[in-house]
Amino acid sequence: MTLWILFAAALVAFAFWGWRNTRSATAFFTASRTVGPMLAGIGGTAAGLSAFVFVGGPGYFAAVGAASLWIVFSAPLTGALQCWAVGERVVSLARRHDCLTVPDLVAARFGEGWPRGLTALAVLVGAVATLAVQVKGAAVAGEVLLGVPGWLVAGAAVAATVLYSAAGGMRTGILAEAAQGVVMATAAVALAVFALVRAGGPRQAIATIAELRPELLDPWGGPGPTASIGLFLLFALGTCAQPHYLQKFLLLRDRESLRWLPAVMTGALLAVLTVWVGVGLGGTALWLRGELTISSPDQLAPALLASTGSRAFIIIAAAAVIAAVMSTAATLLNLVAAAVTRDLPQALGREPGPGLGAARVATLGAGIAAAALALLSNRPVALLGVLGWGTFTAALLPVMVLGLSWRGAARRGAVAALAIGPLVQLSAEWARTTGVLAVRWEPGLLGAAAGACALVMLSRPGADR
Amino acid sequence: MGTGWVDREGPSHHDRAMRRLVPISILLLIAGWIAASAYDLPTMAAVVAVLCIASACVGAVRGRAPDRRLPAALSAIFITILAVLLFLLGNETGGATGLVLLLGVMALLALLVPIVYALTFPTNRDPR
Repeated sequence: MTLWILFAAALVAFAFWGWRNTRSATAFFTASRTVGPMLAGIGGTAAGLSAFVFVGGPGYFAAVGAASLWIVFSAPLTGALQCWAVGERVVSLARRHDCLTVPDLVAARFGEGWPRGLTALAVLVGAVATLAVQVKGAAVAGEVLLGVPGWLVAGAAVAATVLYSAAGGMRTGILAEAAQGVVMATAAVALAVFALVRAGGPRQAIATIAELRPELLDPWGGPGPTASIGLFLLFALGTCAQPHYLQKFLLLRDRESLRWLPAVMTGALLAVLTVWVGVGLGGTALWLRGELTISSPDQLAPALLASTGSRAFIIIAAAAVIAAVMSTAATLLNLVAAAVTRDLPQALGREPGPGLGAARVATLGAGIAAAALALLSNRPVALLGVLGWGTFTAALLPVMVLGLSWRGAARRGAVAALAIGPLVQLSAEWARTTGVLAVRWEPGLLGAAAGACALVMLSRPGADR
Repeated sequence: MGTGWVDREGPSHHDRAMRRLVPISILLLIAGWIAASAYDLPTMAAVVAVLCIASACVGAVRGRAPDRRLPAALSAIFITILAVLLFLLGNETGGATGLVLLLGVMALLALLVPIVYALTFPTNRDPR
């Protein structure tokens, strides 16, 4: 109890520090562009990795086996790919046009009005869906790990994040995210080692799975080869379209910070992803041997921890999951606040209001909306995560990768891509859920492909002139 | 905020060629992906996936000209990924071998890719 009181006091002090030191939109949305590669890399990775990794990842391994690792397989590429494909251009564009948000970047490239408005709308919808994943992840962890009502843990995590995010925006957000990233990486490695040791080591875990459910070791099992490669591509290219990753480029203090950013991001990412491989492999082996009982794949990681009986281990794991939830939520809350108070009004021809009051209220509203969505949705954590990721990919991949690098890209093509991509993705998602569309059709990629087609077809030389 | 920040610079002969080449390449990749998904062709999906990732980096590679180290290193990396994917597909590699192969290549790429990026990052000029 004393620990919780100390933690709450530290949180309030941190939020107060943020409130006192955050006086401008530049400070609130980009931490005054003072961030170096270490902070941006660890914070960015923590923001990008959510409860999806700790709860959904091992669960997905239990459901489809090694085929789930095609998502993880994209990890070594994503840091450098982001910098190559979009980061360098984003940094350059942000400095020339003083961009504070992702819709600012799109407006700087394609003009005001529809490009900014549609980007803001995509950010808003995708961010609320992804925020809901965080709330759901916290609820699952709370129920199974700590044995308390899920809504209570989820509510506390969201309330704490809203407190420091509303007070200091990304100035407090990036510091908290970096600290949470360190907690996540340390706990992930510890949990992975623990799970594998408990299962008798990696060899024994693989032998158990090979004996009892050999199909789980097939890299092409589960959804099949085409769908597995689709997931690999979705998560490799999709990182270039995630606004919570893109935002970190806006925070960098100079262009040189890009040089070692991929190294930091890759190191942090792989450290955290050990939980997916280690707990997935070890936990699945224990489950198949009957040493763990789970009613759904999402319960694999929490059930493994609960079975240890070690209170300290359970608290470490809960801290990691809640850190993952809070780090992602802080950036997403900031993105929603920017979309609602800056980008949507600017798209409609209105200047953003003075001061940060509206942004702080919007941060609170986003937290409440996400909590409501999470508690009303019955979708598993992994599926909600893929849905949010897919919406960002479908909407933003064509304009961020193709639109920023291809000189021939025209405004009308960008507007069409921003509108068509998410519509196709959401329709495909619905069609796949109802069985109309085969599982190998990845909705996010389908939406991005449709958007890229629209961008290319409407941007033929001279189309805009 | 302005519009068309790139177009204002005026197209060169190379840019005009790229304007025609980029849409054709993108449409071909998309057609390849749709064919792979529609007819469940994993090998084509693997080739398209690697080409998509490579083409996303074309802009950055152009920005580093005339330094050829990055294109050479990138080509080696992407050929490695493609080879692994095709090996797994062609041999229907499963069980522990497939798993260890996937994790091994992942570890190798995790070392190589960020180092290549850092070593080829242009020092004194804007990457664009």
